[in-house]
Amino acid sequence: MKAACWNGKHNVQVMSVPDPSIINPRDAIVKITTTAICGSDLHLYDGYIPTMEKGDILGHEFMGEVVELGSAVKNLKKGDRVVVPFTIACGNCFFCKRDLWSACDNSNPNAATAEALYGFSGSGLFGYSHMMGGYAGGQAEYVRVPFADVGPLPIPDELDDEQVLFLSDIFPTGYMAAENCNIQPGDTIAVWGCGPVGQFAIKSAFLLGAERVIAIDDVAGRLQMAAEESNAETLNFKDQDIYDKLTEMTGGIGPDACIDAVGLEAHGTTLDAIYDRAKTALYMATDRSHALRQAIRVCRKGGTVSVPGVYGGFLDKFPFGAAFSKGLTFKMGQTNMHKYMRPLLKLIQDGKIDPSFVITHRLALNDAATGYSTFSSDKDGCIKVIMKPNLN
Amino acid sequence: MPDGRTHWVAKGIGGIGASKVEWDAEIYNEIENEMIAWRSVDDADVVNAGSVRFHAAPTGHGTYVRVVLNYNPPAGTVGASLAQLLGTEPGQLIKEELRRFKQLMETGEIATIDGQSSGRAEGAVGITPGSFKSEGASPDESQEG
Repeated sequence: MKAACWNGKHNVQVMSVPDPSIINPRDAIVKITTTAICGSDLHLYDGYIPTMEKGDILGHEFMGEVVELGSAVKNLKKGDRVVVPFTIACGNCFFCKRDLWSACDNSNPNAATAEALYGFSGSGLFGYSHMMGGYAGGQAEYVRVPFADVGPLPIPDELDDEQVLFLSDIFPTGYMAAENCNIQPGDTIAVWGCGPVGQFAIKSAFLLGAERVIAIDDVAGRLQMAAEESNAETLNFKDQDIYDKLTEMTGGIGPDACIDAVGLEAHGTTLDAIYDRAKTALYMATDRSHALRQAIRVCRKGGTVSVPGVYGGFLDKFPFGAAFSKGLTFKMGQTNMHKYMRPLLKLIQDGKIDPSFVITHRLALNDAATGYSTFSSDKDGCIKVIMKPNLN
Repeated sequence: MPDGRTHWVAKGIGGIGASKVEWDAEIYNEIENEMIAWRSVDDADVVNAGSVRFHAAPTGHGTYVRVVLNYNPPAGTVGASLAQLLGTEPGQLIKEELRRFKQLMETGEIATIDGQSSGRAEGAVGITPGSFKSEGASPDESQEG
């Protein structure tokens, strides 16, 4: 089959590789109909994530048709059209039973590596480094889906791929970020980062009852999308002081909740790698955790800072004193996907949201390298790239 | 074995020239649903004894499983550790075995990526521009992963 492989920094190549096969009884094989490049894939592309190996198949946002089932999967049948969550969860451990699906205890074959860095390992992820399990991803013609009796969500025929594809990650991720804000009537929510996750956080905040959402970015096209698609008020951080502007817009008290949909990443596997990556993280932190520091500073007293943006290492100059002094609540983490997919599918079916609004680029899988470079460089108004294996 | 003993063979031996170690073991204490204790008998390559204990955990937390293993290095080897014999540190080895046991108990299978597809597989070839051997790769960066 064809698959987009990570072959090093800024080196994505479509390769002909063996078709996947059933390995465990709870596996399924899905024939991909549509897949996407996630903002977090760019951190792989840019070489920030260790424990990637050349030849790893990329992609954690995908959907398709079930073509093969392991002997233990009874709830799906061949031909079912499914969206697959990017987090892999067993459905039966302490964490899955408490709806903490992204903390699944049983799905990462390399849990020991993540434990060395974080104390405990999160769930396995598709196409997102060997520390997170090393599972082959879905930017391919076919993918092996472990615990297929728990994850894949069957999709009714009347919904097309573009409407439901983002149930695989970014819609639930933006939604959980907004839900984590515990939004009350009259609330104002500020969102840093208007990439795809930010766009869904903005829309979700309104769906959950926010009165105002203020979107912050420096890419004009993203701010325009936030304004046009969701009626967000927008601020370009290059043009103004965000603290001054947000306090002014909120009668002097600051936003009720702040969402950091920017994030940064730095992972490590061995002690020396952790140390090296820590240094990298510190470098990045001086450069890029500015959004989080700003969110902590401007958030109103007793407010919530919600972090869907991915962090991997150590933060420099984290203003914990401000957080303590103001009594802030912090909510964060990989999305508990399985909790959200069904209710959010219902929102799509009810016409409350059409997630396809974020798509700016539609490519063939063969053009994966172009997709990565275009998305990576913000060229051409690129906000979201989807790819289809059956285009040429 | 007829007398209730079990015969064990451990492979993956490195460092001391032995390709495997063998021993017979007997279970000398067993309490249903609570514990199993064993010890090696006769001329074991690795004299060892150990136990597995099962405790009811607090509500909703399942069962705690605790393994204790004691061992002596094989006769005739000087300075050999079980780590050398088994190729890894025994505490970590047992922890990983317990992790796999937990996976098997809770999910019916053991999470793995062994046998999955990748660009490292035999016969995999690039079909669009790009290079498997990325530019700037150092010579010791194996493609075989």
